[in-house]
Amino acid sequence: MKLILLIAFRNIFRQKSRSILIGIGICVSVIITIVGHSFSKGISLNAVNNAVEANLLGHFTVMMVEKNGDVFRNIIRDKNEITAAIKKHLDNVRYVRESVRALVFAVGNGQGRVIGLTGFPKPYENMLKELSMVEGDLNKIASSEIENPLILEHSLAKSLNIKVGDIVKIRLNTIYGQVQTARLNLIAIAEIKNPVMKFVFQGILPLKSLKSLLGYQENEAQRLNVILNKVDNSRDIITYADELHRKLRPVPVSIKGMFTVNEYNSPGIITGLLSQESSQEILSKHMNLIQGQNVDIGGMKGNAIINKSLAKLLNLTLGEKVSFSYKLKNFDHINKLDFHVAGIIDDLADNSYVAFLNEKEFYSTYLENRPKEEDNSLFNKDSSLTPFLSYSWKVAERTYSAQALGKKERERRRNETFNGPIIDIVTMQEIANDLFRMESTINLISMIAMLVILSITLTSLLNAVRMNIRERTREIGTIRAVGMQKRLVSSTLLTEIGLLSFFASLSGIIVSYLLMHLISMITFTTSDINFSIMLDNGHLNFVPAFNNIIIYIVFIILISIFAAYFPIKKAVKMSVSEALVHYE
Amino acid sequence: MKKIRIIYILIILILIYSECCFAKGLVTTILQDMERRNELGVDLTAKVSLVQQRVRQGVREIEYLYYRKDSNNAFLLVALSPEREKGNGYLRIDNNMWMYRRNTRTFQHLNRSDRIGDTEVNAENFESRRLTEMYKPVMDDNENEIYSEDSLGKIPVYKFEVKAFVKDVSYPTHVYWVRQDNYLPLKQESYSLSGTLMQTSYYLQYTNIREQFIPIKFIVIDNFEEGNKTIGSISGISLKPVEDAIFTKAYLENVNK
Repeated sequence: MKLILLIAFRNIFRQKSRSILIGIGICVSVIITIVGHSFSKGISLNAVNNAVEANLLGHFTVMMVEKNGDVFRNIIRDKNEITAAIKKHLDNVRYVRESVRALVFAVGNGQGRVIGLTGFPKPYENMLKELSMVEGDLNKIASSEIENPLILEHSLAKSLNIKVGDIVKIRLNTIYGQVQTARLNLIAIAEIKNPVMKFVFQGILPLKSLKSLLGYQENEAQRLNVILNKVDNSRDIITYADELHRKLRPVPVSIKGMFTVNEYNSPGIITGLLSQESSQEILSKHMNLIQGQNVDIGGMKGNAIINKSLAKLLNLTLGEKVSFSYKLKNFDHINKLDFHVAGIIDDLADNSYVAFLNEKEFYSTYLENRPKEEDNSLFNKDSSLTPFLSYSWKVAERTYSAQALGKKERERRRNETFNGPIIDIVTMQEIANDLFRMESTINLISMIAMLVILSITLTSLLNAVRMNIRERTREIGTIRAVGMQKRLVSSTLLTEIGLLSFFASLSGIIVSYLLMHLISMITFTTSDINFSIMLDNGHLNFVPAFNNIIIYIVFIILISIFAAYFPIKKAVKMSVSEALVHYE
Repeated sequence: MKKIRIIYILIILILIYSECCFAKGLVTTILQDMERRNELGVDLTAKVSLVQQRVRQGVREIEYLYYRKDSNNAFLLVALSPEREKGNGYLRIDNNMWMYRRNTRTFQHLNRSDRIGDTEVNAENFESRRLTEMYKPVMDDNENEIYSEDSLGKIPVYKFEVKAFVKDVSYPTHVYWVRQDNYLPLKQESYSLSGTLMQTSYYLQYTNIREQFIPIKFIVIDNFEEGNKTIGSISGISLKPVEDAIFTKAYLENVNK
């Protein structure tokens, strides 16, 4: 082996110009491969990170949807609870950021139009970096002295015929469907530096102001954007979203409080019974109804089913009115709920005092007025009743494209019968579908261009290697004539090509890194959306992937060896006399 | 003696004033009467014409055929004109409402607060939801309903304010002017959550069919974007039974084929 390596090295240095030419060919192939691949990956990460860093989106978003009659609203009732659950279940979370958006009808000076408002959380620095002021003072957004400070996109300000200092009247619907109006103070008119952001940014308000206008409480949120620590590949986002989807399991919910009838009191709990299931099936199979006939759980309005012990303790009969009071979680207040006894069931295993509302009425009370205390002793996993009791949420199926997400939402509007909150995890690939479609197109174009250049380079390389071997047929004949075995000759020549490819590839790696570094130092200024997706802060972004580089280099070395193998085999197979007189 | 007489007069005046402005139950009675009228109890078919005047956009007229069936909590509006709107429609069945677009043959799910044909009239105006399940009269500190006597033109009216005690209504506050003789609303102001006057409705003409008063001419003025208004008129009212098959998506799809 040592001899083979020695001869191979000597051959490389003996024919310097030939080796340099082939080496340059291999080197160029490596440069094209590395730079092309790194550029393509840079585009992907730009698409992912630009939108995230600019506060546009999270890598994925956690939303909760509630149905109330025909109205569906996005509302996370306890943002801290969900944020804690996200951080508990995923180890790669950088932070969870609240986000709120709304479409409003805005009236300026005699002109009106629909605009999208985005609520921004403090600190505002990241967002302000993305804006270029045309008129006004962007920093006034942080001022507590100005009510509803608004930053408006330049072209919209023009179409509303307004200037800084003017008042913009807006009309919007709260999350409950009520008409809401407000007067916004235009503090600045700005251009959006990052054209990607123009997809979403039209008007900017402080998060707190927009939340308040939409009817959200302090502890509530429209959606929570999850920002991951490091995303090297956009597919990682889907993996993390799937993981959270698996882990965000619902938990039982109930209200612990005090039943009151006249002067009698009793501590106990109220929970909900799912009403999608046939009421009679629940009652007959899982509860033993001892008083009350034809109780329709789904149709119960202002009524409840209670257990025997509670009825006995408070001396209750059918139709009697019961009051239930409990402390609220987020306010120092006691909430009161009245119901009539619609049915009495036999005691359940744990003998607690319990009343069952139908799902709709239970969630209506539980969600609007979260209890301070809950008692989930009723939720025994061995009990056949447990699956029919109310849970904290239903987890919506994951979707993997904007089309599937749209279909899921349409289906929900048409057919959803669950009255509690539905938790949904949506990745940025589903929300910013256009952004990723553009990224895929640019990736495809750059990949095709890279393959075309690479195939031309590789064809030239193959030809050069083949010619090199064929030109050396006489040399092969000579070394065969002095007694070198066929196998040794082949091994020597293949090692020579292999070594040449290896060193040329190493040079290619070094040159490509230098080239990428130099190119990425150039600053580009553009407002073109297609070009801007390639840029990271005005610079072309190259993200080399070490694993892929190794694979490409091995591939190029193997191609060079493969190209040389057949001419070598042919030359070695020739008789010595034939090889010695061979002439190309 | 003179002082005592003055005190008596004052007491009588206060009592008269209280009787006038804080009579308990009158507003509730009027609301119940209004919702009784709104609940037809029979099916209804009518032609609805909406003339819409918008700032910088001129005037346009849309005509709909309106079917309503309270027993199913359903209504259907099918556009008859203009040509580009013809065949489009709105279908409400219980808690679900859809907008149908003939050109794309698609149904889009809507909320009750969504506007009909981009006019000032929304789906809520056509539904038969009970008024007292959504609104209650404004009370004074002594839990008396507040109202006052007023006049609209020469017609004596009661003026009162109602506030929503549920959240899923478009306007949290309404102010009504209703006739004193038969409690028919003549004017209604609707306020946003922040208290801005959003729209004013005038009920100009009623018709009496089978002891039911149905408004047949009304104007809705947009007070938010001034200059916008919609004039509505209802004609060809029939209270004959309407087939259940009409309140289906299939009917809406096929009605103009």
